[in-house]
Amino acid sequence: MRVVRVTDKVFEVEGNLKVGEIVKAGECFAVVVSVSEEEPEYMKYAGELNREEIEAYMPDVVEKTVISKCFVLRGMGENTSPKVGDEVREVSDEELREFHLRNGEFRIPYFYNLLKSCDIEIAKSVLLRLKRIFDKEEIIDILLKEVDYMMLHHMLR
Amino acid sequence: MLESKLVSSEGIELFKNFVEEVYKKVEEQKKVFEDVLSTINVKKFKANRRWALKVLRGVKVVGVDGSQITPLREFGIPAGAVQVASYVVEHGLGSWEVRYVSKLVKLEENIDAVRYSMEMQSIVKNMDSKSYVFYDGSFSPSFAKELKPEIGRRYVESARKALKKSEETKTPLFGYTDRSYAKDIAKKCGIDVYDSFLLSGMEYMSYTEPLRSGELSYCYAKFSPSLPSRIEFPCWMEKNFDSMLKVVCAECLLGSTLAYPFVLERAHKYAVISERERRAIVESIGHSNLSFKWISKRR
Repeated sequence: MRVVRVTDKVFEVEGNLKVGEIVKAGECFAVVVSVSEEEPEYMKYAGELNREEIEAYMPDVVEKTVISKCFVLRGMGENTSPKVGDEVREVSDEELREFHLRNGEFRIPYFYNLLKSCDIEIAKSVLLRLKRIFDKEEIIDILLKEVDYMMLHHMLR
Repeated sequence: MLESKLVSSEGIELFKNFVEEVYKKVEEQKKVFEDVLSTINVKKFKANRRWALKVLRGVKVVGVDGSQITPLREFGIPAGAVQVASYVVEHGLGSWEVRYVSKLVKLEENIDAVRYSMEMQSIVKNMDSKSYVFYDGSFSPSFAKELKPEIGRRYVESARKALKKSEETKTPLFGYTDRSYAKDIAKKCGIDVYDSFLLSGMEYMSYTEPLRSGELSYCYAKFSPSLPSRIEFPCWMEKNFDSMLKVVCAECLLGSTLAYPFVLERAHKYAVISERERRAIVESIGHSNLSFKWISKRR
């Protein structure tokens, strides 16, 4: 899977990633925030033909393109945006551990922007992943509780 | 000559008069055009999209088209690139694939000629006696005569190889030119006008008999309300011309505009080097520290 579009905070990948998954493109860490299907060219060719006929005679026009949108986890050193064409892969626990440690201390400076810009469920999934790696970090527990409270508060409103 | 901007009241008036003059001349020549058309055998398809499906059922069709990034102008570096796509579809069976060939082209090479020769090579590779092969363009590009002799020869030789292979393998091959500027028929009649214009009175879905231009056969077919398209093919195909042209007509009816072959639409789509691909190339090259000064000296 490769990067097909890049903006300041977000890049897009052609392919089906899992929402909430943390990925790496080039040197850039990001979290998958949405997955959508681009409209196939089907309608352009359909006319009076039915879907089965289109599939049999013009098979590639019914194929859909899946686009995964990834939010860049900024604030960690040189976590610059990737380039179009960069390969995208899942991040290992070891890489995540290294990414979040500065002089042996756990840091998560992107969390505020993540919370501000993305669905709260995404923020929670990032925290849950980090909790598995840094199981003794109290700050993650505090943030998780805060997120749970926000979700509950949102539901009750 | 106009001593003011073109888009000014004076300029627009001049432009309008010029266009009216051209229309007037065409009206005057219409009778001559009709006379020419009456000397050519024209047949007509009774076709619609269902008919097209019938014609194409089980038929393997290949569309070949290329695209390029020219050196310097877009790259800012002394290299360009050509990408040729062969779109292969087996109608009715739901199977398809795209085959690519790409090449980097040096600044001193003629990128158009490289692209043409790669397109012809791709055509040759797809000759398997079972497919109908379509190319978006001519096998006798008129501009080849105006080029340096060695480049012109390259065009002619590449096309000749494709036409020869078609005959050897008995693989039908069509060169489809949507908007042709050829003047073969007009020249024979002593008129200086494009053939497509001369034959503009053809009926929708009609096509001319096969005609000859040197070692190449061609016909004109009108698959849209606009001007007729030029279709070139090797002379051996004249024998089964009507049944082979059915495939061209059916392909057009499958296309999104109902007037241009479906396989060529798809080949074009896959051949195009998209803006994001261009950006990826330019960005990756941006790190190589090539000197623009050096490039200008090399030129």
